Amino acid sequence: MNGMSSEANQLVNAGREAFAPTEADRSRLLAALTGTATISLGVAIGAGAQRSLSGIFGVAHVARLVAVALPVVAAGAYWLHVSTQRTEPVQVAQPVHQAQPAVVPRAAEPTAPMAEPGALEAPSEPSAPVSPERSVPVVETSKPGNEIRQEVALLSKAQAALSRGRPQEALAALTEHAQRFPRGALSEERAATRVRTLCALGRTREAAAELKRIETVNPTSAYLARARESCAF
Amino acid sequence: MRVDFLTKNATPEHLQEFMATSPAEAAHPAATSQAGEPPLPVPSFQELCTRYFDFVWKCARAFGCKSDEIDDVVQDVFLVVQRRHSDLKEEAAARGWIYSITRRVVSSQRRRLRARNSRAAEDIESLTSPDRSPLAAAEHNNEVRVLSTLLDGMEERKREVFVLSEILEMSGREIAETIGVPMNTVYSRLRAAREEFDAAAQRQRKSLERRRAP
Repeated sequence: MNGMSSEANQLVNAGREAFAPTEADRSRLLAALTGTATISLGVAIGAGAQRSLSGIFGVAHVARLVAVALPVVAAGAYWLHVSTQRTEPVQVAQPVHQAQPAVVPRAAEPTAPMAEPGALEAPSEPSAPVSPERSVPVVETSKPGNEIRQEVALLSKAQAALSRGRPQEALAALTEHAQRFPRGALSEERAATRVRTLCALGRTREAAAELKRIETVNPTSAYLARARESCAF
Repeated sequence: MRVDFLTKNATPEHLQEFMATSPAEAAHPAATSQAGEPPLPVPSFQELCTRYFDFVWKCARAFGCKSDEIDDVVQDVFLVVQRRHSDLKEEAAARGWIYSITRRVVSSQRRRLRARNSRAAEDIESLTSPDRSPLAAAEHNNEVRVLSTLLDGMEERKREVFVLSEILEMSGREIAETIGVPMNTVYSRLRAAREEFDAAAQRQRKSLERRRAP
């Protein structure tokens, strides 16, 4: 017994029912998340994929997704082909060891930004047909669901630049993130990455100030430990 | 064979770099393995999806996510989980970690909506069940609306334990492990939250009765 009145318990019971996913919700989203609804190269946007997607999102919507996703997929396939030729001949065809969340449901808008982390890892060469920076611009959109993807893309860009020894680029990406998402879902990660970036630039005083700010604003931040390591604070 | 253009080149190292810390580091002490006990194997991303799908969904809804936003929010949560999965070092830390991601994604979503001053459309219609008569459905919808209003009016820490206990039906220990506070704190917050909720529910009922009175 929870000691509450019958009125209160009635409301709680209504919430237990209303806030739970239905079986259809589970099937729909779990299929997308665990990879049932995925785009296969070779049958890309083929009948099989369309059936899989249309079962979830409806034929008309899938048609729109296909129309928008096709150029992105084609560009991605071309880039993958070029970027993997030197090291792994058929990496494109390798099965992914673990299911990735298929975000195709929103492929109409967010596919491009999310490709960025991977793209940034490729060595950038002037002669590359599709340069990492240009291949996957961050899509400007006001839909809330896209914003976290854009946040992820910007932070990934910063992290990739930092790991390639380009802290100046990393700082630019972090600044852009701060301007566009001042209170974004990944602002803690941004702050911690900024500390590491400032350290890499030798701006240790600013890094220390940033670290102190994190400690003040969010003393329990899970990112503090890593941030402290960066300049051996 | 499939190619995921979103993550194709995101190596574990890259993910670790991006995510800056491991869930094990972020884990609440109560949620980590007991000393001397070998940690349970880390669930795969698919296992995490299956195991925590309902948890994420219910949390998101109970913390204010509307039915027309829920798909996006759940996907965003698992997108972050997938991106950071390689950092998950022990199974015991998974729920608290996923919970914190869910809270942040929901909170971020709500802030954005508030900032736009665009109140999400009431999603009561979508709660209508074909198994109910129109009258029963209307009554149920009203209860859900009242519940959401009362939850929105609660102080965040009380709401948190109330939702986890009453809506998600988690035990005190599970709540303590998930949100990283001592059991005593959970129970004291829960007691206060129930009193507050109960009082608000009764006020609401009286107010409704007054309005209905001739």
